Amino acid sequence: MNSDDEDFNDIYGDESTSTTTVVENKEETNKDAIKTTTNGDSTSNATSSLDQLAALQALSSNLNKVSTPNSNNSSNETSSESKSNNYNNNINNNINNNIDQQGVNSSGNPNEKPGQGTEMSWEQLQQTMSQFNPQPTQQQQQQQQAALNSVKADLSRDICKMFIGGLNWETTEDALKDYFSKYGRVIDLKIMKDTNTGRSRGFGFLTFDEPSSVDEVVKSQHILDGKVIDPKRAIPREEQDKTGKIFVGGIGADVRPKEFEEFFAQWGTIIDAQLMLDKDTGRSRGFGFVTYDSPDAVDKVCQNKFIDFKGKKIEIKRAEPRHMQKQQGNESSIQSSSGMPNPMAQMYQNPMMGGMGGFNPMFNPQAMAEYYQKMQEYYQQMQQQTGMDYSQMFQQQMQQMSMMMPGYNMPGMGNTAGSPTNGSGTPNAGDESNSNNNSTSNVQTIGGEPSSDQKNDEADPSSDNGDNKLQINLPRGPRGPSSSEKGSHYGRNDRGERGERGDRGDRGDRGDRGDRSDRSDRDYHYRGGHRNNYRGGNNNGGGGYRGRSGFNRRNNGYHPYNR
Amino acid sequence: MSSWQPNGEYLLHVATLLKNSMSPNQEERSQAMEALKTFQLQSEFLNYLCYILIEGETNELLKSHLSLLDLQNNRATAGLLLKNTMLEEGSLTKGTHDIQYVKSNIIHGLYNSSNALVSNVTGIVITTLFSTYYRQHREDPQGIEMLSQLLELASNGNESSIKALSKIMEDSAQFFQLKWSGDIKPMDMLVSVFIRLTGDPASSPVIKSEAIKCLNNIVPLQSQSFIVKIDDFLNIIFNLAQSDENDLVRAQICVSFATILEFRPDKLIDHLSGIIHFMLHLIGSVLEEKVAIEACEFLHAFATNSQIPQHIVQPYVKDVVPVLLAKMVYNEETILALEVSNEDDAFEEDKDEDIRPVAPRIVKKRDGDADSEDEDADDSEVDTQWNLRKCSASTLDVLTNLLPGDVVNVAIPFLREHLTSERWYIREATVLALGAMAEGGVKYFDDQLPALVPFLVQQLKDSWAPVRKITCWTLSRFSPWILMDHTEFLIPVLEPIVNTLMDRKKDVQEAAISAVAVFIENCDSELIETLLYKELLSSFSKCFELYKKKNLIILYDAVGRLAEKCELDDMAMQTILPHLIAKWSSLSDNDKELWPLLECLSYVATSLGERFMPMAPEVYNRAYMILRQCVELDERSHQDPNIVVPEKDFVITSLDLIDGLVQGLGPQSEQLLFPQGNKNTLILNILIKCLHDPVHEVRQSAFALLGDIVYFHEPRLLANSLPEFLKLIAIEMVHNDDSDGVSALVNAIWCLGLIGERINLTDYIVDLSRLILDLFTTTSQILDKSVTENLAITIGRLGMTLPEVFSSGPFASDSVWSKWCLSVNDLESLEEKSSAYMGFIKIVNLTGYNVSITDETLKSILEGLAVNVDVTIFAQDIYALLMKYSDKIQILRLSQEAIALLQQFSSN
Repeated sequence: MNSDDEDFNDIYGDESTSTTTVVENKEETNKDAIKTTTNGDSTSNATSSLDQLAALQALSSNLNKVSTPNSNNSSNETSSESKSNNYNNNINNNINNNIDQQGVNSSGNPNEKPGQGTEMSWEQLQQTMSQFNPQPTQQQQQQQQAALNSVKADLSRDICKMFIGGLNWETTEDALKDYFSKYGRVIDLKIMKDTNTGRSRGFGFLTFDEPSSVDEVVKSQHILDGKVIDPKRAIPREEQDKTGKIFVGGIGADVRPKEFEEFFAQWGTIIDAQLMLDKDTGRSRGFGFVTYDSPDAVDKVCQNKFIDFKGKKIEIKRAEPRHMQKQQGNESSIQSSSGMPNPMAQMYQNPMMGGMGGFNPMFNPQAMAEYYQKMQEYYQQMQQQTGMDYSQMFQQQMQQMSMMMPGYNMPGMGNTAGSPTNGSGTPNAGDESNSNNNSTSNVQTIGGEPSSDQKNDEADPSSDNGDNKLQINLPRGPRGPSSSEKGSHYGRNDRGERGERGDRGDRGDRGDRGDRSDRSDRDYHYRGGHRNNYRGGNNNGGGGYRGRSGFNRRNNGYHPYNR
Repeated sequence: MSSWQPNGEYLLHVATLLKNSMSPNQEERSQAMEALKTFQLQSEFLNYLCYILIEGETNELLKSHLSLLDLQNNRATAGLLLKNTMLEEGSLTKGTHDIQYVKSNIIHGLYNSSNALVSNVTGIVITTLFSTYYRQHREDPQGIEMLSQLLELASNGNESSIKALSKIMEDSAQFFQLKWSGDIKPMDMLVSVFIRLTGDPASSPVIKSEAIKCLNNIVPLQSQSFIVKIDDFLNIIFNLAQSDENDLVRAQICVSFATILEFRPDKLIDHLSGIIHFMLHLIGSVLEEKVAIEACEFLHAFATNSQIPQHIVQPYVKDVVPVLLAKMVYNEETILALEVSNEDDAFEEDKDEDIRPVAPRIVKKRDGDADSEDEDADDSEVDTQWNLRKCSASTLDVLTNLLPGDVVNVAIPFLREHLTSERWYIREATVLALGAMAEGGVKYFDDQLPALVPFLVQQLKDSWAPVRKITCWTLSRFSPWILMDHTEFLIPVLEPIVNTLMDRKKDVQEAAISAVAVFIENCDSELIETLLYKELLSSFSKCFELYKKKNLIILYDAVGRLAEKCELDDMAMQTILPHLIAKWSSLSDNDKELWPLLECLSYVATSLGERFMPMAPEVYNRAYMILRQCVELDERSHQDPNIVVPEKDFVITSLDLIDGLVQGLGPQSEQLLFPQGNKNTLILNILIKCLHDPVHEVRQSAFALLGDIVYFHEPRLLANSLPEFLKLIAIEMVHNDDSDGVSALVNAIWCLGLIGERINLTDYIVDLSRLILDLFTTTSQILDKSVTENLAITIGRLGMTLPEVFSSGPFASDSVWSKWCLSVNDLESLEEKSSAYMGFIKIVNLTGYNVSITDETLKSILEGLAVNVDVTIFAQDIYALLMKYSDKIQILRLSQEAIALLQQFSSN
């Protein structure tokens, strides 16, 4: 994640803009969500559920620019009523099926009105999980036009809007306006405040009348109320999603961030270039990411797998969101296992999502199915332990979840719910999917091991192997050599360091295991944990640790020129 | 004032005691010392000492009673005792002593003796007077007066005076920027005089060099008084650099340039070429090594100064590197010394004085450089002194890190030419240079390493011990390269080094065992276990038989590292442990050699785990005895000053060994520490005493042991002492301002978390949580990262059972949550991070909507949960969180790990 991304979370995840509408619209929201997922395909080739989300996120800044039917929520609502119903039925059916196996009586009424069902489950959920206070979901809106056909991120679209970071907490909106007015007419402006304390959160947004004002602003440094502030162009999320990102590996350690960016600018307009630096040393870690304003640029740069840069052959790979990679595997499974009742899964695979960055990880139907099963087991267990009937709760929770997460594709539920829209959606999706897959046929994972990753996916699409790989730091046995700072000089951090927290984990791991006789198991945790902690311990001190352990180090070893 | 006159009888008495205190007769000496001690309480004692220092050879009474030699010696003795008494805490500031006479007359000692010792001692007394008295009594007009006198004497060529001034500057320069009596800031005057003396052709070399030395102590202050004259000073220095060939002066010029380079590089940047060539000229030509070292130090500073950009340094590489390489050859005397001592010595016992004292664990602040210089001077051993060779190698090292490509390009052709030199010391220096460049430059000559490495391995068989020795080191410097990218070299390199462990030359053994330790440290556990484990064990076993004291210490270290790296098994039991136990039995409880051995045993016990059980009772009992004895002696010494307190290292290492046993044996260690269960918790009482120790390292180890006891043993054992332990933890948290005590603080906080996980802290939580949160949310203090990290973990651990404490108040805030995530998200321990998050998620869920969580914070939470957290143990809490914020979550742009988390979570 680059800092810009985080800025955009600020922009589009801004609670104060969304909460106002949310409260009243709780119910509609849910239904909208359902509607969007179910009828998405019929409305536009771009409206996968994910597109909806992205579009929504962009909405707050684009409301006035894009003509959407968002003003008449109510009509949408009614039109989608039946579909929502369908949808709910489906879930209920699905859950009932599961639960019935355990002889649990389903209370989920297939004909229950969706709104009612929703409210009921809210209440019960609140009862059962005391900490769990449901927050209404965010406002759901449609924006079919948002999915544009243009391949290039249109940076000019919202170019009048700026993100202003680094503000003095004392800076007022008036002061901000005064300051920026010299660059042009400020038509909108807001400093984000902490909702509890009312205190400024140190950033805000500002919209100029003319894009040229933004150009002027970004040219120079700005100081306001004694603080260097950080104005940036606000690029709408949806535009971001049309960008293309690559991974660059094997970069020489002597390459500096600026050079890195300049070098990659030859293939297209760069939105963001990130050379990964070591947190502690500030040195290049030999890889980085470049985000272009268009997939074209990515195609261009990716024509070469290796490029000469400062005397080294650097490796270029597309960096794709994980679901893109999974998609290929899943698709093959779907094609092969026609018996799988998973038409929704195809929708999930709508290739239009490929361009989306803000996808929701929970969209993995397989994972969701497994999750459901786990949940069910959990409740069953609870039932055994407490003698209470949790089946209803479970069911409602599932239902709730599907409601609350618009864009969720519930596993299995596609049986019927998806089918009405499938007719129009699937072929379209299929086409897109193919073309997309073609263009990304050489898609590889970030961080290497692409082949095994893909192989895993293909071999067993239902397992999350690929994803599990991302849990990079789970203990998995011996680690590589310790970091070079420790390595090159003989001299250990003495017991002092050992007493420190850094080493605690390994004891913990071990204690956790309890069973010391299981040697391999113990090893596994002991070493993994230990090396990690050791390193962690070193890093702990941040800048200070070198000095500290330097003092503590008992340097008995031979060194020809230690002072 | 100076009207003070000594009482004759009393004077004579003191003088006789002084004479006797230097008597060759031991008894007479200690009697005199005792008597002087009682005199020390007299308010006029210092005046008497000073009188003897100044008038000791002129006073008629003294002359009539003592010989001329005794009179002379007495003056110096009186002066030193005067200095020591003044340094004793508070003797001057408390005002118990009359020092009128000292203040008025001490200056005469600088010139009224032909005896250089007397003038030097006087200089030291004056320096001490400034550093103890005048610093704090700047309003005393005599301070300024004495300063003027000193400057005047120096201007008139008095070398003792300028030497005294340079010592004063070293100790107290910053105080002269303040106002002294009569609102005078002495700095202006001082700078002017020093610069004048430096530039005055009439000044003697000593005056010049000492005046420059004075200024060198002023430069770092960036004092306005100096800055306005810096150009004058530089002009003079440049002139002297060209004209003055005196070694003292030149050495100080080098120091000047290095100091100005550090503080005002802008002033030198235009003259760098000239300065560097001046330095290179000195290094290459000067006979006095001290000057060459200072010149080389300039180059070192030049290469390490972060304000000087690479491209400024780069043009000089081609000139500097060859000089450095040339000076890395041992100097002629050393070569001769090494050549006559090349024969095998492995069977000779080490003399105690050959062994560098085991570095004490406790960080001692050095309380004066003057003393340590003497130590260095005494140390005549070939390789322990800082010298030109070391300085050159160190400079090559840092320069290679800065400009690896350039250095390698210059150095490699040069080195290749000399690698096979017939003269061993050239080969030796070449190998040293390769090792020095290894860290920074390996990438730039790694294409040559496949050929170089076999060559180096060959050098392990060189007939010259120094070549074998340096080769061990250099090969170990390539260990990262070998272990990362070229494991095919691991065995071919390590095997010969392991063979070298048994070298017949102790020096070579030392380097070999050090190199093996480096390899162990850098190596994957897996590699060690599959490839090296057995071989290392059997070699170590042989080493135990062959090695003498000095190398044994390093061997212990290597064994400790091996134990730390991989789990020791039965083979280790049979090969290594008997040696350790035998050694352990042969040493007495107060032998300092126990320290490294206890340390090593601690690692070994941890690593052997249950297998150590048969030895455990004996080992534990002895460690416990040592610990108890030390703690008791320490306690009794508070009442009885005659008790000699053993070094705290005994306490620390025995605590650590017990801790090692607890870690290794886990719950089984309970029967060792608490043989009678609840009935005997003596060890806890001792622990409490250790936790009261003012030495941070003792508390650090004690908290570590406490934590492990909490972790592995029955919580009820703590029942009685719990309030005391919690109090001590609280005290540690309150006294958090000593940066040297960070490790103790960290361990205390860590302990608290473990206690909270196991024992209900409801009764204490209010106060404890306040302390934790005060520290965690402090804005007035910069905490060490490890402190915040542990605070965060402990908050999480306490939150597991008492989340409500944190769901309101200072912790209920988005920014604090965000800080919390930031503090733990890099944690690499699964268990810690899991329990931290477990409590934290409970807290967050319980806080509800009292805090509106920002997207960033939510994102950090998810991303934190994504890595190194066992989410299965609190899946329902996470689920509740996810549900609660589902609307927010889906609009977040999450990291791949967080996405994987959600998927992983759902597949759990």
